[in-house]
Amino acid sequence: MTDSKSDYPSFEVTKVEVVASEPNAGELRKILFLAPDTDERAATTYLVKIYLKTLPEPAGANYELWIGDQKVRKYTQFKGGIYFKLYDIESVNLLEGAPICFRREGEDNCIPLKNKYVIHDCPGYLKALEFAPLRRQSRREALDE
Amino acid sequence: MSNLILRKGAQTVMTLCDTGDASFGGFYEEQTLSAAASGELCIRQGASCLMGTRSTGSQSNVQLKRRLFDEAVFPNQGLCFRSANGTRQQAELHTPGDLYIRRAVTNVLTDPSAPGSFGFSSIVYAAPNLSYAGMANPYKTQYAVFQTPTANYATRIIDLSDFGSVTSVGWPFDENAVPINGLLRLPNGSGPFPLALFVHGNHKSSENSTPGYVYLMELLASHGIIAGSVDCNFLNGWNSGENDARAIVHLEHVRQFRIWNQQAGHPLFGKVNMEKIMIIGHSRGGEAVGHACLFNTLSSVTPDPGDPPVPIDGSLGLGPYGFALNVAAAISPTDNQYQPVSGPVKIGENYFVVHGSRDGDVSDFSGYKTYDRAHPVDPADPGQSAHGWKSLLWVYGANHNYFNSVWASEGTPTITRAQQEGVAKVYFGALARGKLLAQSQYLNLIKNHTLATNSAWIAGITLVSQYQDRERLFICHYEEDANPSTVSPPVNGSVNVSNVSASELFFSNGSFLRQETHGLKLNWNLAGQSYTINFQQGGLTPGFLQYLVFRAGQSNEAYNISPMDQNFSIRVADGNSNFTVVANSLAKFPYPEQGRYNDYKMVMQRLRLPLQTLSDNGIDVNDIRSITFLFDQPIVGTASVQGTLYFDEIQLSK
Repeated sequence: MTDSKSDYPSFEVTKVEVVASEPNAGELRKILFLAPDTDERAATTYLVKIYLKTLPEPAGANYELWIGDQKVRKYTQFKGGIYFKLYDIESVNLLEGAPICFRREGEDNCIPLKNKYVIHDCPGYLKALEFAPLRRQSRREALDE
Repeated sequence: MSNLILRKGAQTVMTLCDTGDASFGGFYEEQTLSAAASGELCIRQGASCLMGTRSTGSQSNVQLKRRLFDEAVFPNQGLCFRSANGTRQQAELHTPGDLYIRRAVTNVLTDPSAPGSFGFSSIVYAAPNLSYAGMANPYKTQYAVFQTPTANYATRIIDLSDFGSVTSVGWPFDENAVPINGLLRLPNGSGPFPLALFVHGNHKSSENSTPGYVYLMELLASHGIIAGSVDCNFLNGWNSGENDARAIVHLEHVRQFRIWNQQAGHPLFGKVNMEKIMIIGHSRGGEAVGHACLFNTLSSVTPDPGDPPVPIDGSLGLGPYGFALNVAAAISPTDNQYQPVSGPVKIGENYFVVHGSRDGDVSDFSGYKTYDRAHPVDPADPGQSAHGWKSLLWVYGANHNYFNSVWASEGTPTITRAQQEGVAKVYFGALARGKLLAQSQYLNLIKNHTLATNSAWIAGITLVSQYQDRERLFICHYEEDANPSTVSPPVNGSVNVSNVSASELFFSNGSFLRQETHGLKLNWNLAGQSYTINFQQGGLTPGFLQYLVFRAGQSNEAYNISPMDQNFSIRVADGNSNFTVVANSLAKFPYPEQGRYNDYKMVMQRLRLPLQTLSDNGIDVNDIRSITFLFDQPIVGTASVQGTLYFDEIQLSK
């Protein structure tokens, strides 16, 4: 909790990583809907993991995550930060060079990150480009559980 | 005294007093009369019973085929009840089944926060074979309660993976198999009992948020309502955009009660009244009740753009729903964090929202936008009734977290936790008794909060409230254009703004205006300035509507004086005479309280002026020619006649 509305939580991105994961049931339905010819055995959910140095205490109010000019509609907590999902390698590639931005909901300006971060700083991301598809990990493995 | 008394045998069912007030032997129940039961009193027109009784023990409640209109101007088209000497009409049973009374229902209501007469049992329901033992503390201890559900109350798991992900903190399940867990207070008796289900919002997942509404559940259970609290903790943490998943969880809990209600041999078999359901959510759970209302009407949901439609018709284990949601209620809700593919949700159920001025979390009063979007006027058919009512309560001094009894304060409320829980008990007690137990008198509280303050059920707390009935005729809703002089069709009139500073604007400026509505801003600094709506003869037809209603609120702008109430007059004229009433005598317009972040929000107060009052003072309410906001009153406690007020939704209403 901050003392003033202008005192934003301190977001410090320490690493960004893309890992390939076996899709869960809902994700598989999405993948097959988007690309009906997909081999189910190779279907992959790409988890874009944004490691944060600290996570403020969660509350009702939300912090939107923007990658470039795209708002990420859903993201979720993992042990080291937050992650969001993509369902094809092309969507992963589109992240190239996009800056990471958090916004307080309803506001247009990014909360200043302690360190500027763009997606191509991410070794995992480069690995995704070079070696796609990545080795599919179980979800628990992919989320460091 | 020559009161008119309706009796069933020796029982007094209804008393029509000389004053025009009415009282009932029990309660009146609107829109509940389908057929007259044997032995009950029934007033018929032909074969159709318009008004009757239903007896419970020694008490007979009055059931109406349609609605009760108090402070009524009589349509003179039905059965008239006159005073004993025949000189004065006291009530009228209108042919469609509406009951009109000249004054108010005067039954003495008891404090809705007081417990009722039902004993109840405490139950834990949970998915079978859950073990949180592998989690670290405090998770292990916080959630151990769900490892041992009460006998017969093992539930099931659902696949939530199309909608959201559980936070990755080591839960003993993932989104493919989330448990239906909750806490329950079950009234003793055979029922069937109505159902009220609370759900918490986002919070640290290491603290179980579910017990935080037990204080409300036990109140409702003591009045004969099955009351539960939903475990949605697995979605808590740094999750975003997941409020569709919260809505699905809430609906699946309702479905669990339908399953049990239909399951022969289960303790709840036949015991749940599935026609009487209220869902209540706090914070993100409050936003999610709106999504639940939407999903409740669908057979499939597309969670996000580009996603495949997810069946909620039972084919994938979710749904079907289609529940009779009598009320959707939101406590300090967020708004539009999850946006349905069809756009921001417009709630079509009866909707109640409560929020605190000292909220340090959802500090921008997001639910005001949800409220504004609910039951909107249809420009293509502006005279059409809405699908339900909506009501808003703004509590000075209340914070975000104290509505949940286990959440620590997130900021600096200026009222105590006990006071805040007391407000919740009064309002949810009244809502539940009014809508779930058909004790319609209690709904007067959500139309008029002074019922609570005058009775000292809520003391020492400034309240601002709004209510919009589903029966309303807008005079000015300000949604057509940007012209403050536009009168809303089908009302025929014009506006005179010649001697006051008037502007129409969208009530959103990132500062003290945080709404989703257009409205009117008036500034004045001289006594006698005014804003007048003029009508052609026949331009404003009240029909069965009984009140002139609008909402108006102070801002913290320079013309207003902190912390004083604002004031003005309302003048209504027919072709021959006029009548003026001081606004402050009908509703207070308090200065905004400084919020958690030293900000201010303009929250409008509703004002309801009975047309009967106008009629009693010589105004022909069927020939109203003008309504004037006349700025001739000093700010309360000062000599200054100046101010800035925001107005909206000027209307005639039930």
